[in-house]
Amino acid sequence: MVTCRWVVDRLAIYLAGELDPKLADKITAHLVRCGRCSRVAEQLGQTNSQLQDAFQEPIAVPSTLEGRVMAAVSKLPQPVPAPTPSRFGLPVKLAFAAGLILLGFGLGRVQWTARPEIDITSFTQDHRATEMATKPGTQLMSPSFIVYKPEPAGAELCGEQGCRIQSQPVVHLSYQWEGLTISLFELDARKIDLPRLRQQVFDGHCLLVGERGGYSFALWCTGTTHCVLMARTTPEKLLPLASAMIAKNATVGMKS
Amino acid sequence: MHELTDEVLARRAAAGQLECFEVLVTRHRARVYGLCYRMAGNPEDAEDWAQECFVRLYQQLGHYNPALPFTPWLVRVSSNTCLNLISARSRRRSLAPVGLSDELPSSDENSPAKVVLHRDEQARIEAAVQTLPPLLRQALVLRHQEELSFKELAEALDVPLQTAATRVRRALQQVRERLLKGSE
Repeated sequence: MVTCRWVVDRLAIYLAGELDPKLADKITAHLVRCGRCSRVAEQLGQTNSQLQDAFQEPIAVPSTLEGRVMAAVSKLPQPVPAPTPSRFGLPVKLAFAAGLILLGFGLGRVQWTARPEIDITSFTQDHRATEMATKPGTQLMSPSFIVYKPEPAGAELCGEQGCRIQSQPVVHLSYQWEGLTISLFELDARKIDLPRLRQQVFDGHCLLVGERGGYSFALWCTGTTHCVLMARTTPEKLLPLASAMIAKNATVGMKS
Repeated sequence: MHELTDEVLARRAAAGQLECFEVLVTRHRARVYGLCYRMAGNPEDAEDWAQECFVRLYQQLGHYNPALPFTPWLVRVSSNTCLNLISARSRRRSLAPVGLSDELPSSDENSPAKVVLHRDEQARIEAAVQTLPPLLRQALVLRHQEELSFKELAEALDVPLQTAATRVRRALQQVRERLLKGSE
């Protein structure tokens, strides 16, 4: 039901033209017949225009600011990386949280975290497109950022792109390695969790390993980034490459 | 180094390359200072707050995910730092818009009287913005200073879309009431 209160609550988005068209039509219809809401809309529009003009005024930045900032920052210790949200161990706080959940909901399915899990099969479509497009030397669309770009011996980096998988921004690096097309996907570890796959230690590195539909997957966490490595091969063949990538955590840089 | 993206610079700065952070400061000083100026309402506090924002950004670099764009993260950290500083600072306010550019508009049609009126209007609007509660001021400043869409604003504030819209709407209404009172 379209009430005056409902309309007024949405006037700011409506006036900006960012409201869903169906909702906007309802508001338009209401404003035509409601003088009060129509006046509120007009007033908000006027004030908004005044503020837009006011905020256009240039602001002079003091010339001393940069010097002050760098003097202050140079005295600080190097930034400390955030702790890795790892699922390979059982931190005390997770154990405590698990205990609370069990206490509250009894036995049954326990969800360790509210974050969604990576669905490894959802990467298949992007990897398949890469298999069709990628040959050595192919340059795919470059994203505006690179996070973690390992280049282990024998694997040629062919391309990089940004995409979205499970609504998350993803960096997709593609490689040619021993005749195979390999995809390395990188996601924000704070937004999505690794799935419950088989844990495997290889060369001292802890990974999650899985197979789906003829593809093998190796997953790991580095800093705040979750990495998903996949190829049309067996896990046994993929693990050495994953281990080499973890070992060769190359410094970040842009492709020339 | 100046050809590197913000995300790469941030990553390197987090690894201890201070010169990379300096490039970020140079690139974003106007944005951060502008935000602080609109939140603080005076140039003296704005410079102190901008310094504090950059210090906070540096300290938080270890929490920044280079897979995500740098600017929204910078805006979020800076605006939240300003919120903290608002609650900590004294009630002293200087509302003279000294920080504004002293350049006159180039149009020949602008007489000195019009320029004075324009500056007076500017001062009134800035004063009205300063009367807003911190959360409403933050929403309004981010919306207009950073020209964020409502969706981007909701993400920056980490609130639902409707909450962001309600804050802006209330801020506009309160600014209007203040401007009307001031003209009585």
